[in-house]
Amino acid sequence: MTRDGQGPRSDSPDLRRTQELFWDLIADPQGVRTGLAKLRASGEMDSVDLSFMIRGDDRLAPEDRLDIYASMYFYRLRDSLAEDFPKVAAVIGGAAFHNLITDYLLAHPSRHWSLRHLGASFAGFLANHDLSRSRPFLADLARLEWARIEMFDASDADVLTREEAAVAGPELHLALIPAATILSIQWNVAPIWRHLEHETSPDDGGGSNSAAVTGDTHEEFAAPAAVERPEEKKTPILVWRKGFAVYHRTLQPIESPCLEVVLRDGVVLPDLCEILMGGEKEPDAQAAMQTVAGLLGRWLEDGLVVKPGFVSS
Amino acid sequence: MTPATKPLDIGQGVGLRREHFARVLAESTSVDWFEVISENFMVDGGRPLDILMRVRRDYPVVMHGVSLSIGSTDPLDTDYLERLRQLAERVEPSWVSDHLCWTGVGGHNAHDLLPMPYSEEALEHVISRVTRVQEKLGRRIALENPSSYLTFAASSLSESDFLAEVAKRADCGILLDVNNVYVSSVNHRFDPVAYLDAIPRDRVWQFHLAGHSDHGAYLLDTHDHPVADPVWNLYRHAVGRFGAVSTLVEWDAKIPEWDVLEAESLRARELRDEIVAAQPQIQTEGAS
Repeated sequence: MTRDGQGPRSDSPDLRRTQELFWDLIADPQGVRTGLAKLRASGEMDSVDLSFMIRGDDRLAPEDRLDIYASMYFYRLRDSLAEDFPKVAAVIGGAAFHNLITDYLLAHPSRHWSLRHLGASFAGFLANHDLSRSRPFLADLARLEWARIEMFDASDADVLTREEAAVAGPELHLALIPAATILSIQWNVAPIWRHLEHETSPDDGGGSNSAAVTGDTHEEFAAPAAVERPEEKKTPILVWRKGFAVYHRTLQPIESPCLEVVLRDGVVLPDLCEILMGGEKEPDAQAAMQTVAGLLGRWLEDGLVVKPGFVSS
Repeated sequence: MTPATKPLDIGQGVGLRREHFARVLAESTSVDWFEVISENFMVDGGRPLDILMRVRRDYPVVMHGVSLSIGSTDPLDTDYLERLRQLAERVEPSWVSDHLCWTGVGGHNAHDLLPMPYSEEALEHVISRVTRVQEKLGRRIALENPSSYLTFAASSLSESDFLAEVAKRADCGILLDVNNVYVSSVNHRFDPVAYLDAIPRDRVWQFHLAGHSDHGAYLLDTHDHPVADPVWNLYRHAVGRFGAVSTLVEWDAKIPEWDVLEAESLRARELRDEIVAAQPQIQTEGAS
């Protein structure tokens, strides 16, 4: 007998079945009662209410009590994704984002212990969503936002300095730090990102992952932000972390193939000269060497090159 | 593994949140220790991890998790446990805690602290899993009582009796969240003082204090307000029963300026010192 004087019901499901039913009902975007009706219609359960599993009282029926958890489930995950994709949310507005996340969570419920990974499939999902018909650049904007998150907490590395590079000479082995990646996107969303940046606060990832939510579901949705449709142009974008700040920049045509091979394989400087000459981007070895020296200077300034021999802990 | 012993009182702490990173690193504070959400730092690199290690140089740190899912009927997540173990090895926390709850089933994760039925079946299940987790981590853990908004028809035990039995048989500690006791006592109409009195004295390693929201038909554990007066009153009773136990003020949403949080923490310290000074015998009492 519990302290409230109520004994256990003998027809209650076992722990496994209780948890499965609980999950099915809180994950239904139309609420617990609708979820219950669906389970009855499909023959998965025959009870008309949840009193066999959850106790109600004069204040709240069992279904109302479970609905508290259903609301917290959705709003917590929606708010987490809004923090991860503030620019996508701004472009489509709060109401459309709310509905988008409803669709996304049905297709991609969280399967990882950390909320950090919830948005991993978001850009791909968005690419095939109806919203992308009128705004086909949305998925690329999401890719950029996700890449910035990925770089934010990627592994640390010791970065090569200009002085160390000078000492090493032409046989210096070039490899990029773990917190660097190159996106190849179809729409040049960098200007939209920049335009929206002053309206959304950057996420530095150290916030609460706690069990608490405000429970404030009576919200006013933000209107869509006014943005110009970006140029449809295949654009390579470098995303990386320097120190603890995440940056991105559009790569120039001459830089992109070089950096891609550095990222993929690691190279020595003469390899880069051959790439430039082979692609007929530079006419001769001297011009190629000058270009490579310029690129290397920029990469060192950006903190992109890992110190040779560095082993991540 | 050696039997669980009640850790030393490390004083008054607050949760380490990004809004206060700069303040905490720039100047000294009046708090004695920080609690971190373990999962926020179970990452490969970057700023949060760096800040955690810098804070750790100056303060004791407690690792408080939200994803252990000790009550789930899914298998224990070995990847999660390994990452948790690695972080604990690096941080050397005063202790590691999580919640008496489940967070998902069927491979899904709700990222919420979902309630357990307090049945004999669930009791055996949780005890078995706590034992395995402690073996994997190579340390004892403390489990926190969650706030809850429903109770199960299958329950045959009260939450306090369930928690006490888990602590005793799995040989783990209890993180007693005084606000959660109060919130659940209103939501389920039980006596919060009787709840505290059912918890064994020697198992309580830490207290939590936090704010909640009144939604009319129920209270919601929102951590977005100052600690409410009834919770302060219950804290008085808790200190009277359990003595000088490490206490943490949680504030996770609508996070205030550092000074406001620090003042709330100081209030807990003053209250605790006042009660302990008036009842010096409670510091030396043994197991109930």
